[in-house]
Amino acid sequence: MRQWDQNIFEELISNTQFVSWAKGEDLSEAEHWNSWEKNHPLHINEFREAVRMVKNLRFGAIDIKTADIQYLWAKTSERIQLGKPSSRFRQFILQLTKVAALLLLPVMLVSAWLLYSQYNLTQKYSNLIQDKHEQKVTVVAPIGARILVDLPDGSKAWLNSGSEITYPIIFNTSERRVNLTGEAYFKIQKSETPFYVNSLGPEIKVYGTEFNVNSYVDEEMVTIALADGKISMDVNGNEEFLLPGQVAFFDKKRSSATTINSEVNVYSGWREGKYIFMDTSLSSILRILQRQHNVKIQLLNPELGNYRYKVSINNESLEQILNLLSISAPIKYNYKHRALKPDGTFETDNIEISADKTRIIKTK
Amino acid sequence: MNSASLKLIQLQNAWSNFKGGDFASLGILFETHYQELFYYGIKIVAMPELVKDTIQDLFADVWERRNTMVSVDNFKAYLIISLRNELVHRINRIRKESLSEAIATLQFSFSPEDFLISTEQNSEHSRLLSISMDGLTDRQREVILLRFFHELEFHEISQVLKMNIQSVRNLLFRALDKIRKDMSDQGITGVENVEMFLFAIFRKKN
Repeated sequence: MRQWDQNIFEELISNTQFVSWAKGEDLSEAEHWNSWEKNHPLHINEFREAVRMVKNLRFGAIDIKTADIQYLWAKTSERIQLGKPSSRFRQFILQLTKVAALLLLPVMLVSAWLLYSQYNLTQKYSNLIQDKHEQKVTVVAPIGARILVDLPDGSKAWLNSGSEITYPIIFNTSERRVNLTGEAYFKIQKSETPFYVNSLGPEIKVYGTEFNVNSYVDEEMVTIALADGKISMDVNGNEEFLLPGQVAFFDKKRSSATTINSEVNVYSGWREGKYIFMDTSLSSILRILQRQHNVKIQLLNPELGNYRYKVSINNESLEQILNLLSISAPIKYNYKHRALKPDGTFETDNIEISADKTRIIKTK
Repeated sequence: MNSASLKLIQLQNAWSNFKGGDFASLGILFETHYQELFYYGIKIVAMPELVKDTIQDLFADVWERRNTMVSVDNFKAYLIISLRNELVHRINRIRKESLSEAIATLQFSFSPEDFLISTEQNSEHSRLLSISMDGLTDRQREVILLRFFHELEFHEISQVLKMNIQSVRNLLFRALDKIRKDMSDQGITGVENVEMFLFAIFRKKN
């Protein structure tokens, strides 16, 4: 059997004119290929195989009618001329995108607004807090009045008459700090943040406790009495601790502190109008009475101020107290009731204390 | 002048008029190529509406690019390459959006109805042919379609399939070998083969 020549077969299949003719599409080539067949008797096998292959592989494309194609063209040209590049598929995607955008828009707006207002609020709040750290409040207990002050952190301060306390509207996070003139009893809320009391005496550092500070301008001593907990005083740069039941006296002139064990009630009784004087000079007692009752007390004989009293006062009236003081020492008092001033207001009451010569002065 | 060359001249006229900005000539090109493109398209993906839309967009694109279109000779190959790329692109997008792998592309599967039956063949022949085609790879079926249906030259097919010309030839002729073998195994022989058979017997007797 004659050798199969693949090259001839491939050559024919590669010839587009041959393929067209073999499919029966181009009859003009018929003569050419018929004579080719005659002139190549050795390759008749390859030729016929190629023809059969082409005939086999004739694809019957779906027959779309000319009218249908023309209709499709009409639609296509309409689309091109209207400049609408969108197919139904693209239109669908476009529509979908629009809907998505429309749905997304309010979400984005709302979230943007929320974010903005959140930011705004935070900003405003921190500004406010900043302001409040700087803004200070001063509470004054006038002469003759006692006041309970609620501090921003929940701590309490009882202000004795003629005292004032200054503190920020909101404590900052690193420290709590108040300024005190006069006398106050503190009940400090426990917290990690240290609490400082600045007065005429040493700076007091507190962690959560109850104590009394007496720091009037007209007293020589600043008295700090600790009821409970732990506090420390910064005495000339040294931290000195105070234990419950201890009282520290700070000499303002000498800038030195002495600590004793004592009854703290003695120092904090004023909150209930209770004063306990243990071996206290008359002048000290009179200073307290002046503050408590808003009067002026004059010692006509200054040496009388050195009389020392052991006395307890419990909400008695001023005249009762003066009587009490007069009984236990050879003094007398002259209560001058307040006079009406020309502008319609009253002067403060005036009391004069002098030695009672009619009584024998007992020497102790 | 025969009808085929008349068609060719008409096509060339339409092309030069189209290049000159004649919109109606684009219509002639559209009507000339539509059937082939549609058939190729639904062999890539069996979604007739998508194929129709893509062909319409393709011609809109052709109109916009008329000034950069070079030659009428390559025009059909250009259309086929563009259609193929665009369809594959769109299918991938649909797949991504619907998260579905269900849509099959580039299978080029053929049924017996895809083949024309000539007078000396019967429906059994078409059935066996489609079975034989099933045994080929997707690419082999595509190369057969491009060569025998679209009558693209090898260099054009190499652009469509993005492979070199020699590889295209190997792909095609290996596929044809297999079809030839399948068809002769099934006893599908023409008169010529009977002659050869007799000749062989005669030679042996000698």
